[in-house]
Amino acid sequence: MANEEKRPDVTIDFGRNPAGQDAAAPAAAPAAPAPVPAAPKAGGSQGMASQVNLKPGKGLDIGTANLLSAVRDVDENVIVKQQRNAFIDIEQNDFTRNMLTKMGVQYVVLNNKMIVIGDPAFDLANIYNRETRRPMKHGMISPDESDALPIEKLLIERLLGQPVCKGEHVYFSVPAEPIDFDMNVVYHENIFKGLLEKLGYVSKPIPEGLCVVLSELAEDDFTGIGISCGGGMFNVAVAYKATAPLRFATSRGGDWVDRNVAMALGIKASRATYLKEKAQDLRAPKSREEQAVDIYYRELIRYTLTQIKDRFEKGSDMPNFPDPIDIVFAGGTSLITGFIEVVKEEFEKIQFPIPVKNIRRAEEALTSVCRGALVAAAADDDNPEE
Amino acid sequence: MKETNDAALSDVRQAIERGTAKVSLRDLEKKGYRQVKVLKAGDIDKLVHQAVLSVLAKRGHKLVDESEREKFEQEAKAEYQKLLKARNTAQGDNTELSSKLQSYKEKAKEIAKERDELKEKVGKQRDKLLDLETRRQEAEARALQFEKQAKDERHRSEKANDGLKDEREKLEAEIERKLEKERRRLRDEKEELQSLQNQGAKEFKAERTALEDKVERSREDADRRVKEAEEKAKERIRELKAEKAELEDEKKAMYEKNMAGQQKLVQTYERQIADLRREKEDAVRDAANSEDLADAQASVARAKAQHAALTTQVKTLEKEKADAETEVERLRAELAEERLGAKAGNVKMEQMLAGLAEMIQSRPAQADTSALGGDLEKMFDKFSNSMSERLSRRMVDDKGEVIDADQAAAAALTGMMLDEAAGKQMETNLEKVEVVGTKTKGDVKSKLARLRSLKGGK
Ligand SMILES: Nc1ncnc2c1ncn2[C@@H]1O[C@H](COP(=O)(O)OP(=O)(O)OP(=O)(O)O)[C@@H](O)[C@H]1O
Ligand SMILES: [Mg+2]
Repeated sequence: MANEEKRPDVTIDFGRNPAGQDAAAPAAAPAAPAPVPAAPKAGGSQGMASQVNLKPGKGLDIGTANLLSAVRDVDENVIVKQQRNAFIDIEQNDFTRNMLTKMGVQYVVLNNKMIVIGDPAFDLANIYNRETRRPMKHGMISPDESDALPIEKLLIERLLGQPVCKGEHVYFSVPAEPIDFDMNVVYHENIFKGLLEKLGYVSKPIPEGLCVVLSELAEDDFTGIGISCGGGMFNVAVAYKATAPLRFATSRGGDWVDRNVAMALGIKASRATYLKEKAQDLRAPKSREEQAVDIYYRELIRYTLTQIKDRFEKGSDMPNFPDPIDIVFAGGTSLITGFIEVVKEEFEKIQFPIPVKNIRRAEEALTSVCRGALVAAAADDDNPEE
Repeated sequence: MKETNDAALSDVRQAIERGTAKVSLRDLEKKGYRQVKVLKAGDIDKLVHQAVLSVLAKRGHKLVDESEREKFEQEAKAEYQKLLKARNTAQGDNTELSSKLQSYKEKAKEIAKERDELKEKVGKQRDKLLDLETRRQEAEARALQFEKQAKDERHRSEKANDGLKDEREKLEAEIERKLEKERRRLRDEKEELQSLQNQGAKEFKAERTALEDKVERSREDADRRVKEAEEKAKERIRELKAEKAELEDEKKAMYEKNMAGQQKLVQTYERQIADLRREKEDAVRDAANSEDLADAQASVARAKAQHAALTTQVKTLEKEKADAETEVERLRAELAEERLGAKAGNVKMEQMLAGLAEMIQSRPAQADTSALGGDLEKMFDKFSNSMSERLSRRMVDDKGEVIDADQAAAAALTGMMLDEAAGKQMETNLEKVEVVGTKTKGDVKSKLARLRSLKGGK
């Protein structure tokens, strides 16, 4: 990935390369893999063995672009796993099967198509000059993708593994109701609840913005504004002492930038994603492409801040903060260099209705939500202790 | 005598013929013989002949018998051997001599060759000497000439010295001029480049500003259009809502009125039936009380007839009542359906609002806004289509209430699909490629402590 170096402190293996093997030289990958049951084996030795040292309670960030899980081991280390929430189908034949096995790429055969999931799907999309398919859209399970659900189940199953004990809790992030778009969030929530319960967990939804607050604002007694800047939407939570009475979402995110840049330049959206994520500074565009990214990024930030401000001014549900608060940004879309600076610039231009102490980005912006969800799961009194 | 000699000779020849073999030179060579002595057949004959003659001479000319002949032959042979030996020796000497001669001849040849070479060398040496001599002479001549030239030159250069100085200055000026020209050209090019750069930057900026303007304009334009459309839609929705409410009220009132009327009718019928029953019972009682049998019989007949008439009347009334009740049922069902319709209408409104929002969301933010304006109707079409699709998925629970179709469908769908996925054997290599987790900082413990202290503090 082009932006690997921009992810502070975290390097995440996307599951392409077990045991540090060279991808071109898979050790003992047989040409024709044996069929395996899709359902997790009850008490399966492998799944359980790798989780022996984990404490019960998991955090799951279900995003349009990425799926992330967070767990803690008995030494209080937090372990994060990530998968791109995307797939691509390619024709099923011996050639492709061999090629994928050779490259160490994971696939599933579904409805007579070979489905490649996660990061390799992006590589293949580039090779075939196609778009990846996405199980989710605008932060929700996509109604247009008939294959979405089985694939989502597979991806999540692989991220979470089986519960370490009976009654283990998973907190999963859900978007808030968007203020500029009508969407049935409950439907989305129910689907994932059902899915996680099928995997044997007790599952509870938690607003994505609140997750950011839980992982980034402990010092301020979990009081302040957390914003998760995702691919599908921006999720805002205004929190007071770890509760978020006011939360909402706006319907533009990284994907919106991609779509518009793609339209402006006449290229494929996944190409635009690549251009956007490639190292560049928002404040100093050096080419026509960067110019386009810059323009739409600024528009996105401007739009989001205005929406937030409007919502604050219209709503009567705004808490009265005794002290100035922090605004913390997290999520992949906040990763671009110069993001916080541009936010500050645009922030200066509007009259924000509450006093703000500091605007900053989460230290590990991409994993903030799943770590927050983990805190919530661990704090749940019903989650088993050991 | 001659005859005897000849016969003996031919015997000798035959004997020789038998005792010798023809051998090729190559075979001899193979066996290691490089030099062979050759005896001509004629010579052999001659030798044998001489030997015979000498033996005969020694023995005198007389005929010999067989044993003598043998002896004679022996002697002849021995003689032959002697002669052969002598000849061989002579011939051997001869070969030695000739080979010596040969080697002398070769030596002579070599010496002659050496002499020729020497001669040649001497000749060459002589040529070289000659050449050197010529060259020396030429060089001498040239030196002389050079000296002469130098003298002339010195003379001339003294004369030309002054002119040369002028020439150099001219040359320097020329170079300076050329340098200046080059410098100027460079300066010009630099300036041109600068101006080109400036122009480029300006164009870049202009393009950017234009692009931003376009975005801004199209955004505003789209905002405006959307707002207008939204307003219009809202207005329309309000109207629709009001209309619907009115209609619903009216209809309800009408149904209720209608129903009340029907019920009243039923009640009237019931009352009438009751009255008639009562009348009939009275008549029977009256008949029983009559003393006059004929009267009684007549009244019985009357009562019977009356009873029959009344029964038919009751039947008609009961049928009418049943009809009225069916109608009431139908009206009730119709009302329920109407309620559903109203709800569906709400769904439609929601759907339209959602559509509007989607339009806001998906409106093209770059230059091409014309498409937006023109497609407004089409988009509404699309929305109403998706609405009818949604209506067809509408669900009603057993109490006749409309339930959230999406949610129910979602629950059912998830269950179904997950069950299906669980039962399916899927071919995959997923197990072999594990998702590796990364340790990162989280500090869950201190956060939990803080959360708990917050809870306790409340
Ligand atoms: N270095 C980067 N620069 C700019 N954008 C980035 C970078 N890295 C990732 N992104 C963008 O961040 C987005 C994904 O972020 P994230 O994983 O937080 O979203 P998500 O949680 O999957 O989506 P959502 O929460 O909206 O459902 C994508 O649009 C991606 O292109
Ligand atoms: Mg997210």
